Amino acid sequence: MAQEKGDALVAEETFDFLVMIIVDYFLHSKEISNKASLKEDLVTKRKLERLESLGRDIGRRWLEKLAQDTPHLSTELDKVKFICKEFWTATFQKQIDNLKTNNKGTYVLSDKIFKRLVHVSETPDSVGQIEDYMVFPLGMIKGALESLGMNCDVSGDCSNAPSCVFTINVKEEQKEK
Amino acid sequence: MAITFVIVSSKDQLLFEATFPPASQTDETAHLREFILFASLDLLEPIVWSSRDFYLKAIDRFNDQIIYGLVTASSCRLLLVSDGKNEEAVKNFLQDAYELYAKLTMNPFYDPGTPILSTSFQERVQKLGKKYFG
Amino acid sequence: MSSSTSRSSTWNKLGDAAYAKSEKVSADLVALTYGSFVREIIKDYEEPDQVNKELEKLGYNIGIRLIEDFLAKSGVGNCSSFEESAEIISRVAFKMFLGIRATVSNWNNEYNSCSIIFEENPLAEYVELPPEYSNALLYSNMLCGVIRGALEMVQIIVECEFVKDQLRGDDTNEIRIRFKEILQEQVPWNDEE
Repeated sequence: MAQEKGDALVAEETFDFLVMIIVDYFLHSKEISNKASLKEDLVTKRKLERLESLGRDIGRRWLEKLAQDTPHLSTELDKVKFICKEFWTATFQKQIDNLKTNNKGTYVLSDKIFKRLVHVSETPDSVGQIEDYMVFPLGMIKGALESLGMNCDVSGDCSNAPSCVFTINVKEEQKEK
Repeated sequence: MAITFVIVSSKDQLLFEATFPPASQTDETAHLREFILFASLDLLEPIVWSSRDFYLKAIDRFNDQIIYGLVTASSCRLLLVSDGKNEEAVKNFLQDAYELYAKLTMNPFYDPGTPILSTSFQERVQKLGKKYFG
Repeated sequence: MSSSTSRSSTWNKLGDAAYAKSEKVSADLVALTYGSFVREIIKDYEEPDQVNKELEKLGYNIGIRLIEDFLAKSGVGNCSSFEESAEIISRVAFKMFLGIRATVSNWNNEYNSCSIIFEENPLAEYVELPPEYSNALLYSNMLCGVIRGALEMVQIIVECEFVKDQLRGDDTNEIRIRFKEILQEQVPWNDEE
């Protein structure tokens, strides 16, 4: 049995091509929108929302796998730090370069080279807008935070891609007392 | 004395249950043990906050039965009730079961937070039970 | 025979080198992302046959883009024949993109159809198909499309079919490739696809 393959690695291009086709599938494919007419209930949810929720689902599962060997994270700051280090490294191949917080539930994460945008910003013929490529990773980050019990909004500014700034806003009722 | 193991979601839903040795249909005490396990859920939260480990050791006691717990990164609870004579085995069992659960959540056809129906997961857990509890 | 062996080892080396120099992500992350995407496609198409077809088509769209990146990074030069291409796919491309090496075998007498066989499938790690799909779904069918699309960009037209899948209880994973034709030099043309 091929067990214990948890450390296997593949070229980042594989992931980037996969994500590219996922973005394409949800946001741009003509046939999908034609097909949508067959299933009214899926029409509205398609596109952005579905892409984001796919990211969230993956982020949630991925977090459970990643956090297995780390000590229990009890404070909000511990959790955000885990996202900045372990999660970011495992998902985006490097740590966050800078983390700031106002200590009131807002965290600003800067990544000077956000790996998931490198190929997109270098390839002139990639499908769609660079913003489209933020939806999926933002979903992943949100899903990972939710998995850690943090209900929050996550936004990203990629106007200087591949440099990106992410903002996490913890929702009121979730803030630590 | 039989051992009962359950997985409870972060929203207190029962996702999985197993007994070692496998429960016979007539085993009345299984329900009692399940009840004991659920009663101990409330005790978990403060312990989780003060612990650095996922494995929380013994968290509760009911007559001669001891309840052990492990809380995963996403607040899923793995609980086990036994007579407390095999603490080391319980710890190893829960850690291995956690590993199995984490792998299960990587299966795209399993939705985390829903009851676990996979027979191969069941078999793996039973195998673990056999390994640690004879 | 000896020349083909030495060429194989050259390709193995190219595959290892291309793999070694690329930046990497966890195979688990790719497996998880692929699987969750397959789930979404199943939600849209339901019928396993339709899902298989869609996966192949999406793969094709990856393949036609991936080939340029592959040729640039792998240093294999241009694939000139079908036979050679099959070897390059299994020894260089599989290694570079999936971290595994496949083997080419089961050539037919006419040498226009062969199988790419791989024991480990990183895309399918952790997957357990639900009973309603376990016979009909070709979970990793995207790979077929990738191969077809990539080869088409180097003028080689093929058909690919997943004939064995460990997820369905087969002893290994096998993609059958059937050679159709080599496209002749084309006049540039504004054609969709």
